Amino acid sequence: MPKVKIDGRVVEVEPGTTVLAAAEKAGVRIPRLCVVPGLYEGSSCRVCLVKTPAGRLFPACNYRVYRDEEFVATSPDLWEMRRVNFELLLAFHRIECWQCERKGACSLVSLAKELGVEGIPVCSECPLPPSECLLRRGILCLGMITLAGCEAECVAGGGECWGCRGPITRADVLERAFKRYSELGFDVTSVVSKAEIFWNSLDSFGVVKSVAGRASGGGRG
Amino acid sequence: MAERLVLSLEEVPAVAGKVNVYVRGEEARVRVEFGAVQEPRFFERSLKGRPVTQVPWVMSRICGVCSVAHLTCSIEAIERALGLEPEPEVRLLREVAKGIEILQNNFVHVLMAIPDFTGLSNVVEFSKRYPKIFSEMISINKSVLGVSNRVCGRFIHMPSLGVAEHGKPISGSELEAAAKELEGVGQRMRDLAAELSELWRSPAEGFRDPAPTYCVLDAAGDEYPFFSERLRFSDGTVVEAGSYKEAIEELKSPYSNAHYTLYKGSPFYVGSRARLQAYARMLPPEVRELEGALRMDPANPFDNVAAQYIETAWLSEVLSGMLRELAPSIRKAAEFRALKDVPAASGEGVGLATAPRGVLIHHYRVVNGRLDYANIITPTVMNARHIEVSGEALIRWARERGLHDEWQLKGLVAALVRAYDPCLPCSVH
Ligand code: SF4
Ligand code: SF4
Ligand code: FES
Repeated sequence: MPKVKIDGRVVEVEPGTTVLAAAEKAGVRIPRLCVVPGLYEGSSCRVCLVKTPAGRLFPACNYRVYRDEEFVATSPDLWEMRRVNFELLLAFHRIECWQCERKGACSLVSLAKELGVEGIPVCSECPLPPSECLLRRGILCLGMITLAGCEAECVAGGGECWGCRGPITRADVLERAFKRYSELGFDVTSVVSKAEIFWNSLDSFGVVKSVAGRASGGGRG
Repeated sequence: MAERLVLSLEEVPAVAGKVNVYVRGEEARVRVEFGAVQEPRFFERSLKGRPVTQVPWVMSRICGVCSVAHLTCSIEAIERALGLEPEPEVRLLREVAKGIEILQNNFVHVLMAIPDFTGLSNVVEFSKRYPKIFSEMISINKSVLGVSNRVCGRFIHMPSLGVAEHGKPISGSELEAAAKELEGVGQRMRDLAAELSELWRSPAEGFRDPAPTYCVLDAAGDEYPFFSERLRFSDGTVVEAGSYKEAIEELKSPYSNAHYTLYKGSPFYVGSRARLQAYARMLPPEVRELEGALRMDPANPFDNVAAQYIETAWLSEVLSGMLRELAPSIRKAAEFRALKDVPAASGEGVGLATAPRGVLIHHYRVVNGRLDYANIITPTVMNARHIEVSGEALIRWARERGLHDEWQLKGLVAALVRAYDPCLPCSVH
């Protein structure tokens, strides 16, 4: 049986095993997104990149081993490449976690966290289902425009988000968020006024204000 | 005569924030200066013009240690100013939140100050010498924090508290569980006191308060006053919240950014020691026994630490009782978050809260739903001058007893300052 060495750990596997499966056997974590073993192995996301010691890159999910081979799965350049690949994918994703039923069970969100990609809103971690969103009850929650990472502590604790983790800066997400605010009857000025409390001295607040300005039909920003 | 700097404590360890204590002058005319090192942060002025619903959330940032005191006192002031009446359950949960904070802050401070009462130089040494007691104290603290998370979402800047609302839905069985946990805390504290009793020695036994006037919130009947509409001074004077300025004179310290206060031209004190004296009649007998175990002398400012311990044990009973009372009728809790709009009205209101370190005052004027004026007086501001006169008396007292060693005098003054549990961030809000 071929011996596979991944990040220095050696495992014996059946011929034809993918590097991803071998890595799992060796206890080495490789991020992945598109693969569903046995169902889809088309390697489209390229989040699972690994390399040989010589620097050749492969997607771990569909590279199969038939002889003794060695791979690197953990290195700063690999993480950077995976992150960039993922960011490109995320750029096409319509982020609207506040409307999404999956919430915490979303693999995009968990991968974003794993790869350190910012731009996902607090709503992705919110314990309330979309039907119980505080905004629907007239409570101005800043979760839609605030960076996730706190497990939506305040909402979980019976309050609303005040934005302490800082603003989302992706304009399309902000645009959809402000659209949602106005659909639910919150005027842009009150959102900005609340956001000011934590964000007033941040450069990134400028992006929020300019999107807000456009949302309210000019004026601000 | 030029003053001679006798002692200078640039920093008193185990005190929240940085404090300078200078002791100047000759034998007979010693003078203590207590001053905060922090810069003022202008909370009162910077919030002018903001919607009042935002105000409590920002005011709670005055202090990370007693954030609930500022949060709730701010909420109370707004409700008074706008004539809003929270539902009784909301009020009760707010009192529980306030109580948990007093309990936890007191307890942690006892732990910070314990070396002073056991002749050790710091908490690490204490933890090594008495690992069992130390780990029990840490575990009690953990239980208390667990209760606060369960009832209020989080211990610091509790997200569930708001103007006329309590946002966290909570079930009767959760309240029962919290009550049980707190009951356990009370029992564990009484057991622990028996062990502490063996070690507990006052650093200045027999020292007496040179200025025995104190101030607390006026209790309605026999209920612990987490909030109140009146102040009560130890001379029997009762002052309506709205008239606090007639009784309490707030002055700027000449040598620091902090303020200090006087009552009838003299210093007074606030905090656990004041509360235990004022509310002595409410103490259940099993809690009273702790006074004996810790040999508490209410006239000795050092014994504020013993008072904190006793009050903690007492509050765990008070709070578990409140939670039990609340449990059967809590079904409505999920609807507490119903208040969507705080009216854009005008008015003036003074919130009075019992903060862990003493009386806290938030005074607001609201114009069209926005904050127009704010004045905040914190417990450490009220204690500031009292710390100085006690310090001066303490040095004279120690010298009369033949203590002249500078190092020892410094240690004693530091222990005195610590006993007041001052919070410097609060004093330079
Ligand atoms: S309650 Fe707040 S955090 Fe939760 S989904 Fe709604 S906006 Fe997002
Ligand atoms: S205010 Fe901060 S901690 Fe609270 S939900 Fe928003 S980002 Fe999270
Ligand atoms: S998981 Fe998508 S390319 Fe491997």
